[in-house]
Amino acid sequence: MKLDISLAPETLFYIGSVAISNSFFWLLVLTFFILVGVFFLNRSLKMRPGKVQNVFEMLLAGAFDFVETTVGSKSLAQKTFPLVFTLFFFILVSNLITFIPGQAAVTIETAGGVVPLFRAIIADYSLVFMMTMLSVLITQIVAIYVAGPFRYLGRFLNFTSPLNFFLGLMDLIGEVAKVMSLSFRLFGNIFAGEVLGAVMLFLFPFFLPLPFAFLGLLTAVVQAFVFAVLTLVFISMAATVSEESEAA
Amino acid sequence: MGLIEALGLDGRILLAQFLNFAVLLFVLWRFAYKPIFKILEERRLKIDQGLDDADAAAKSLLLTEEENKQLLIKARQEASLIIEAAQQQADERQREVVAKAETEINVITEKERAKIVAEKEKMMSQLKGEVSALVLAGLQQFLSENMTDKRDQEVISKIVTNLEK
Repeated sequence: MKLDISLAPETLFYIGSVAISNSFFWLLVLTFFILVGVFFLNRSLKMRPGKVQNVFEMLLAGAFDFVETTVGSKSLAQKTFPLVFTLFFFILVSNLITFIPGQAAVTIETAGGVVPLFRAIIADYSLVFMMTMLSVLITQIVAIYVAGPFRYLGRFLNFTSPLNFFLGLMDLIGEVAKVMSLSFRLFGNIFAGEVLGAVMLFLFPFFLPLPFAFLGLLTAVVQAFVFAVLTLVFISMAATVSEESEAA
Repeated sequence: MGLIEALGLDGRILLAQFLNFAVLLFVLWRFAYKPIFKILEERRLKIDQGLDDADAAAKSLLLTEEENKQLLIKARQEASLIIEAAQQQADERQREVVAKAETEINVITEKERAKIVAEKEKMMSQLKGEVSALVLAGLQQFLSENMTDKRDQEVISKIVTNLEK
């Protein structure tokens, strides 16, 4: 018995020339379930809430309050909330469904060999990269919208003095580094958790993986929160820093 | 590049994942966040309205009670005024009746007294006549036996003067 660890998700099958990986497959399945869930939730919304509605109301109201205190204004909170909360909710649910037991045991025979049927949705760098780019690009768009294109560019390409030029360059590197730090933090945590779980399961399948599963559960919640909050902070900084420099 | 291959990056899958996320974002926003926030806001407004209504009801209740109290006080005052007036009227009426009765009694008494006086005078005059006739008859009888004409004349005049006194 040998342990196969692949950085990229394993290919399940091909549609045309596009390889459909196990992560992508389960992403589609999860999306379908979320959409169905939203459909039923939307139909059952009432003025006098039931238990499910109550939970969602509390979650949304609490999250909105948090977003509002972080960005500091209600209108900005209303604009950023859907993106940030969707990121949080989506990452959280994607992480949590990996804790449904029995997934590691199922493998499937494909053209490329035997591959596991299940893989954490977030343990797919492609998806994490897409979300990170979304987060960073929206941050840049907000910054351009608030400061105007010339001021925005002037922040990175500042020729007034060598020091300012250097600082502008650092800012530019910082923006690019955001993509790296944000995406690898989330992907690394989840992927490492998966690998760790697999290794522990491989070493001794009883009791030993349990503490790591708890650790993974903590990581699942914390990383979802961190990713969403960092996105929120980037956007709110982009929206407010320009205001401050205007005042200065 | 080796890293991109190792990480499994594929432009078409990236696009598919983006579209997937966009659909998720749109659906969650349109059919979950928005209606739930709307319901929360509506409920908040409803609660506000309910509290306002309760306040208004309590205020109006207080006002009504105050009004009732005022009304009661006014009614009592009016009642006492009416009773007083009635009392006065009754007193006056009584006085009137008594006064009228008194005057009537006076009139009647006066009348009776006048009647009695008249009766008395009538009786007296009648009695005088009768007595004088009787005396005259007695005297005539007595005198016819032992009196002369001269004597007769003297006695008559004497009696008459006595009577006139």
